[in-house]
Amino acid sequence: MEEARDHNVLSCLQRLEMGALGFHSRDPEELLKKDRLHKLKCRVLTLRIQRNQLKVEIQRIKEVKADLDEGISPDSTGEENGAKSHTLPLLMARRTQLKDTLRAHHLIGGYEVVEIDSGRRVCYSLSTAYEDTYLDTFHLELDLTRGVRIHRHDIPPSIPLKNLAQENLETDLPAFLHTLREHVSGLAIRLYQLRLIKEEVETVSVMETNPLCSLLVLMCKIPGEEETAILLSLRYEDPTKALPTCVTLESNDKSLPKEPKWREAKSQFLEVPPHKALLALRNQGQIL
Amino acid sequence: MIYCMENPTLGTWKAGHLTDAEDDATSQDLMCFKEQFKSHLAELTRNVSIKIKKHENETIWIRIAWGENFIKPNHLKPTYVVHDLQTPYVFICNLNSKNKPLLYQALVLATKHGSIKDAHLSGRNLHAVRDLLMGNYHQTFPTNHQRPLEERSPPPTHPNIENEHKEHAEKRQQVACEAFGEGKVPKLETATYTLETRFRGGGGIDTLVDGEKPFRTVVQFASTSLLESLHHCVSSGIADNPVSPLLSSITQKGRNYFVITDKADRCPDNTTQNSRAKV
Repeated sequence: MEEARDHNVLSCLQRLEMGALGFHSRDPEELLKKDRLHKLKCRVLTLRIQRNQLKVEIQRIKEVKADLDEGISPDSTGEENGAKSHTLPLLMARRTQLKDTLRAHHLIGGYEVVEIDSGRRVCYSLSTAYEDTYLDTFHLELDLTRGVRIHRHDIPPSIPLKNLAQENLETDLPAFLHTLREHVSGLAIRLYQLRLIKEEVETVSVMETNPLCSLLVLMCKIPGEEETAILLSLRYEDPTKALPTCVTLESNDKSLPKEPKWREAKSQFLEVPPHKALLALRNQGQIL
Repeated sequence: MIYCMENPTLGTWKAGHLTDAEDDATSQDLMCFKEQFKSHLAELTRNVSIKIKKHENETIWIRIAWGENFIKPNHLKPTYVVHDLQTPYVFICNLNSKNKPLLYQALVLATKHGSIKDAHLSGRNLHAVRDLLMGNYHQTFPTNHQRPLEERSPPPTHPNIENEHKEHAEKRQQVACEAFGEGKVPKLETATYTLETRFRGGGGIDTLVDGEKPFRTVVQFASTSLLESLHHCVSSGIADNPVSPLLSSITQKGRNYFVITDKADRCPDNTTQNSRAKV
């Protein structure tokens, strides 16, 4: 009977009339609904107040951070609130500043640091680049529980990581990272240059190389006579540099290396990366 | 020898680690190494046939056929050695214990290192053993950016289906990738743990409890691709999270043979006599 009453058009009209005249319905469901509506309205008000308070705090922290960025020391500003309430926004502003600096360091090609295991381990990512191309990224995980030790890494075995670590790791961490980065960078750039030689200058064949890329032997053909070829040996004594330290030229035509244009070409290889030097030689017509 | 180079899964390869490098060990020349190795080995034992070949500009393959004093070198059972100059690792296949010290001596002298020791890593596939030791596979490291699950596993078939425990699954995946690598991992076949620990009791076998003597057990995990199976165990939640250091040492230290004694605190409690767990 009640259900029939509820679904009826007349019953709807009756309820609307009661509501308009201000009569409260005795239906328990409706009472519950009104109660809940009232509670939700109160909650909305409290949340709005909280939000406004947080907005004020964030504004304060932003102001302190702006001051820090400009180099103004916050101790000089006299606050009535006292030291304690001032320290928290100061610390938070300092933390945001440090995070921004770290991010900027990572973007300009430095290393990125990630803290894992709540401070017990730290992971460094060293990125390498050449001109405007990003090359490989290498990672190093350090264990900080008892002194600084290397936990895990993906640095190629041809780089003397253990020797570098013995020198610097315990005493001077930034210096260690700096030398490691130079080694790793040098290797990545040399490998990339080798790849460029293979791709861009196909007529030159790579006779010999090694995992550390400290020796490069190239064979170039001379246009014109078929028999003559030039064997270029580039030695990279310094593992951190991407330019060779010693260039030797050999050929089955004995007089060729003594010619002045080849001597000039030899000195070119000491100053310019090998793929560019080879392309220049090819454009000049000295090699095929 | 070229046949062996093309099919690197013919025998079992064992890895060796060269230590105490001298200062000019990294500037080793190929020709220099060839001559030194041949001369040293010829000095140590007569009647060997040595053939050295350079493969793909970086690795050196050496094939040695051993012979006795009056017997010709046996070319049917040669020893193969693979070495990358400027790295401290050597990979040896088919070497018998009689000739082991001779070969080690020659290698140590030719590569200008102080000594050579067993790296406790062996497998059927040379490339897998090499890649594991030299870190040539895709290792994952923790970064500030947590990668979503969709990147690593295929997305669900219907867009309305959502994974309820997405964050937990992502975390497990990240831990698994950090411990065992990602994508194509080196195909190791076995991992062997020799335990010399005391039997802790439990399981109702009271007669075996003898607190004094160590209880020798060998636990071996075997699979067609061990690292992938362990990865799956961790990412699906079957294995403990964080990964037990016993399992993660396989990739971290590059070994698959471990001897565990009581002094280390990591003794598994569920050891059973000579059990083989197939994963």
